[in-house]
Amino acid sequence: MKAPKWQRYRNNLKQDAGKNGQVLACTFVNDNWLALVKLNDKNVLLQAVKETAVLAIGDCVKLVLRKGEKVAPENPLQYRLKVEKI
Amino acid sequence: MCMAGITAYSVYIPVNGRSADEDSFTMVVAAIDKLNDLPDVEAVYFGSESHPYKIKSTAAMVADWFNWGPKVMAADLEFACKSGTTALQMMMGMVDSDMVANGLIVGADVAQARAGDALAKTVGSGAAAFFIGKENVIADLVATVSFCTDTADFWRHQDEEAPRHAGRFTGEPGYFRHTIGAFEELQKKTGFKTEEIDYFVFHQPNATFSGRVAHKLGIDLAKIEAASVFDKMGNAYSATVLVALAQVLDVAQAGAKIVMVSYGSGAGADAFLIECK
Amino acid sequence: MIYIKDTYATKTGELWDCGLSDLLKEVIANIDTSQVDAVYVGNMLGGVLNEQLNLGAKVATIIGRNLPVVRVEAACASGGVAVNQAWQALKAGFYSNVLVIGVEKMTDFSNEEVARALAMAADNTTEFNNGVTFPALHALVAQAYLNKYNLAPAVLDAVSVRSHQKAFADDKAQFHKKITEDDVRASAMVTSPLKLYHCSPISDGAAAIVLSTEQTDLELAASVTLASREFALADRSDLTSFAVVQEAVAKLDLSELEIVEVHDCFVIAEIIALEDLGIMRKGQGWQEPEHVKVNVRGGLKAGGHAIGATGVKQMVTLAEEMRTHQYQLGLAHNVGGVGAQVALNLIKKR
Repeated sequence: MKAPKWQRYRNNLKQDAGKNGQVLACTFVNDNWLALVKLNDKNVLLQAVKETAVLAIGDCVKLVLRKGEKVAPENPLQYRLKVEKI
Repeated sequence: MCMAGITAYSVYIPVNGRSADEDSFTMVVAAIDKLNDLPDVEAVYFGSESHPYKIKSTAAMVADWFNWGPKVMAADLEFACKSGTTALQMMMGMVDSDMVANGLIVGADVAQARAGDALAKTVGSGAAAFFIGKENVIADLVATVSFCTDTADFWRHQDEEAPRHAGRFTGEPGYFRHTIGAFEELQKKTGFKTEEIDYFVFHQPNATFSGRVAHKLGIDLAKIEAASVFDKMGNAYSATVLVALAQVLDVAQAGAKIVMVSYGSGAGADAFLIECK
Repeated sequence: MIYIKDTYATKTGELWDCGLSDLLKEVIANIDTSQVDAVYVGNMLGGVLNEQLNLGAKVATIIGRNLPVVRVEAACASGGVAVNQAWQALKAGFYSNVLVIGVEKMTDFSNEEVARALAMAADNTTEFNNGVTFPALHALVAQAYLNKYNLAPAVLDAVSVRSHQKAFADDKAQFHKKITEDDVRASAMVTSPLKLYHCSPISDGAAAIVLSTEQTDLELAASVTLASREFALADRSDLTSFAVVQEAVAKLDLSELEIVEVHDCFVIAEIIALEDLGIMRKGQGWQEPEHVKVNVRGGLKAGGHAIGATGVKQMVTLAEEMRTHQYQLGLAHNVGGVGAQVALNLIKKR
């Protein structure tokens, strides 16, 4: 991802940081939990923080800022929101 | 006497050790997120030995994340474990001179040690954030002084992933010489008497150094208790001494006097006289 | 009325000796293109993986004539939507004979490259960039489905076994291996709860049909395509069915349906397809239907899934099966993304 696109993506992160939600569905894939989360105003699809052992439908979570994974060689180190069990 | 003071503070220590997706930036955000009503910050100085980028300011990222810019000063600092307190010294000057009304200083680090090194047993991670200003001060930053030499007790070259250290050499010529040196300079500058001070906060790179330097300085060991953090968090480098200060501020009553002396390898120590309001 | 004339499909599988051009050449060599006025080509990853865009010129060159050729991309529904576009053009009277080709060449690339390419069928902003994989999205749907109907993950296993059973006799299918539910259970977890044997493979392949205004025994009686207004999973009001499929099928009369090819890119997709199409009741799509033949050659799961080719290969399968067994009404159900686009093609035997 080139820098300007990353800049736009990160500006969106600030708006949702700190919100709480509930897990609608989740799956463990490529060493990460991935969760579809219901917030007050919308749903979001996010990874869980790295050391999450187990996630289940109905778990309460909050959105926190974390370091992202590189998804392709050309992506820079990036930050994204992840879900953390409350 | 400096007119700047601490107006708010917060710390973040990862509960079960650092998660693989945390770094010094995300930990500072986590610390500051605990506070309500953030002041209008005009300068951010970020002290760390583990900035996410070699070139790209972590301080600027923090300022941007909390929407304090674009009219904001920002810079990253490094001086081993004392980079956070050095940031504090600089901010004292900025605020005292009215160059800025409110500033943020941060000491934050993720653990770094060579695999298999003895150091790996003592390292931890954490972040401490202090807001500095002249209004609504909870503790006055009365005075500060440093003691600094070129001493190779702990270093990491640009191209290396993990730091090296000089074993026992980090003791006498490193930690003790500089901590005691800064303590004595502060005493000369401000005239404080050891018995008048209620709390002493020393850097804690391991379980014993803080106690040993207190003993050498003739300090009542009960007065370093409140600042004891090593057992809880290990040595989180730039965060350690500031987390210890936060812990003391949590319990100190109005009028309490605190002397804090940080230590950074390479080497230097920053000493502060702080009075709680 | 629009009719189906010639049909042809290559093998589906890891075709190491074939590149994208070779697959196109094979289908074109096996179809009478002499009367063809235009071509529609369904293909998803020609640009991303094969670095070949401008497929129209490639196809016209292989055919050997200047021709109108339109490439259609709708992720895994590329083939079905290409059929739909050809049908529309014929109905509008522009042409008399239209060739529809579906083609995909995927196996020249690493798993990481393919996974990244496939993830492009998901919403770029909210899904692709948050580290999702395409199987992971179906896993979320599967988890929501099992939770909603209080079912154990084991219900997925029998579906996979049935698919492999059906593919066994088809020499063009990717897999010729009968498996048991124990085999499925023992296979590696890809994305919980989906295991390796719940997922269709990466495949190469091509298929072609000629649609015509000239009467034959098979009429393409109806063709519907829709794109969803709830692209991202986060936008869905219901995770356990695909609203866009339900809306599309409402335009068709399936009361006499005898045979169907459903889009089983993952076992859960077959389950939801049977429910969306009204063939099985909600919460029961994992059971075997009694009145309709489903994926008689193993579907995508065991037959293989050469993405752009799939929707056209479904037509080839239906045409051959309906001609052989005299089934009167057949349906091809081809879906792009996770229920993001759908093409339904209904065939009547005359």
